[in-house]
Amino acid sequence: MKITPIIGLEVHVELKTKSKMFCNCSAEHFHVEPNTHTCPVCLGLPGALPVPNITACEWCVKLGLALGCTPNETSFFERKNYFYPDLAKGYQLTQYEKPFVINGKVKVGDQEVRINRAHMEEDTGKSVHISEYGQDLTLIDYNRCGVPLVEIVSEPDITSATMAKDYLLKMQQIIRYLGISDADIEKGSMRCEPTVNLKIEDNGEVFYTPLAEIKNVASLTGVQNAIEFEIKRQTEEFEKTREVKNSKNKTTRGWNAEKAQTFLQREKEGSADYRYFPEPDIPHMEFTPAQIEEIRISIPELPDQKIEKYKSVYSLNDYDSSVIATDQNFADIYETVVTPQNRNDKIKEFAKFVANLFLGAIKTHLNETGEELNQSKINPEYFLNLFDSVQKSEISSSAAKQVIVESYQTGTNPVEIAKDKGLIQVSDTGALEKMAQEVITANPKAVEDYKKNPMSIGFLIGQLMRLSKGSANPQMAKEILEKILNGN
Amino acid sequence: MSASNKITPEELDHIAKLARIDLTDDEKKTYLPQLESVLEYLDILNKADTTNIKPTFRVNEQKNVFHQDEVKESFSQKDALSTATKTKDGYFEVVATIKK
Repeated sequence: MKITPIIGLEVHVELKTKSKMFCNCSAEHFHVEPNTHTCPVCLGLPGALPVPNITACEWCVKLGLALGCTPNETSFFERKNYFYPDLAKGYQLTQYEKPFVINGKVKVGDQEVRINRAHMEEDTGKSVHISEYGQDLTLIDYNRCGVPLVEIVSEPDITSATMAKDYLLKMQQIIRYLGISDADIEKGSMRCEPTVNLKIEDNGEVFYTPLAEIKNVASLTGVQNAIEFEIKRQTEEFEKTREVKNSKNKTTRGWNAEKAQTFLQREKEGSADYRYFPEPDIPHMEFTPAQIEEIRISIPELPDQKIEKYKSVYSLNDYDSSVIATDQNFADIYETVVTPQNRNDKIKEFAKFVANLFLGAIKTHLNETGEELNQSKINPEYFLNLFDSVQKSEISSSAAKQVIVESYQTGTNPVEIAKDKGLIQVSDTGALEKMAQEVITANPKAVEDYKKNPMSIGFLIGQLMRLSKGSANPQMAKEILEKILNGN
Repeated sequence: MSASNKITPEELDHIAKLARIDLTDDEKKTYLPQLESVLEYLDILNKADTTNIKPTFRVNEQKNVFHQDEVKESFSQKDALSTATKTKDGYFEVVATIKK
């Protein structure tokens, strides 16, 4: 029996606009006094007129373009009708027939996930469930009701829990590069609903298990665990019942993180039950090609492009390139130090040198302090000085790691720090020869040993390093000692 | 929707469920024929030839009406809650939506 998971993801992203989607109430709702950011529009009071937020609409298009989507010429909002206390109007304003953008794709590792659409909608209020005198109650805060939300719907091209995680990380990265949302899964500004079923090949026959949409997943690990659980559950269920998918047996399952399992929530309402229809109070929206172009130009260089550039221009490896590109701030600062014009002929060595310092010593320091990389503490000139010193063997690579962190903290030139700490290596042949001669004269026994066993030169190198107070370049010390000893 | 303008009792229950209303048997007897007559009327509309006629979404031809992304004053919490049947600690209080 061969089992292939078929996974599609719906990702909701809360945009960080100042105001809500259809009114001018503040869109802030995290740790805000309940029901203090509401008005007739977001409370769904009779006669209120919703007016779309231009910034939110442009950001939705921007995200779509970054995902390789095509904008629809005309787009409009529709009402998705259902009754639930957190939805003040009794319908959600969303896009159904004509979303802002359609048909994109995202690279996930070596694979590609097709994007069906990205559309604009509004968030619901927040429910708080409490018990009082043995009675269960739900309390509603409408501050979040009407906050702009973009929903990105993928095609079911994802084939494992790990790939789903990678897709989400990629999505998060792109969204953060665009600066349109914090895309924080734990805080709820990015939410994910996987729809999972299995393709089962058994004795030359192919079966598809019923679709299950998973809700309430509140962390990246949760997404992975929920998908893993669902794959196992559906496999077992199929072995027991042999039930295959049809148009009526799609279900919605909740994720219980404590029990690490999904449970049946409700039979899924068919889309006919939502009775979608065009919102009559909001005129159609059309972006001209010039406006679309303007949005396209505002898209910064995205992680994939950066990785490509690091690999092709600077010959960085896959790993270094992706880690630098993970975070836009980090990548941008790296690029203020490494530019294609630096040290022309040695640009690749320089790029690798800086990458090692950024991803090694500096990143370790940042992890320890919990800080973000700070542009004002990075002086590109210092990196060039340090690189030149290492190239000339004045400073060892390990000393470079040591001084760069101190330079980052104090703003002092790392080469100066190396001088102060006596970390400058003596590579001056004359000075080294003089010291080597002295060491040889002072240690006749070691010289004898060397003649019998050349491997014993370590002792003499050690003596030379001691004499130089650690400043001799060990490689050169070894070469000069050998030259003198063998010449004798 | 089927061409038939009959509504089965199950369909009526389903519609009532979507609208979150409880109907007594008497009410069902009252509403079923009323809803069927609405469908009958739609049947008449459906007979109109709409080939080559663009759908009408709204009464005027406006497009691109947006608001700028600025924050303006909201209701006070007191005003926001003033029409609620029940409130608690600044929240709207409703019947529990999930069973614990």
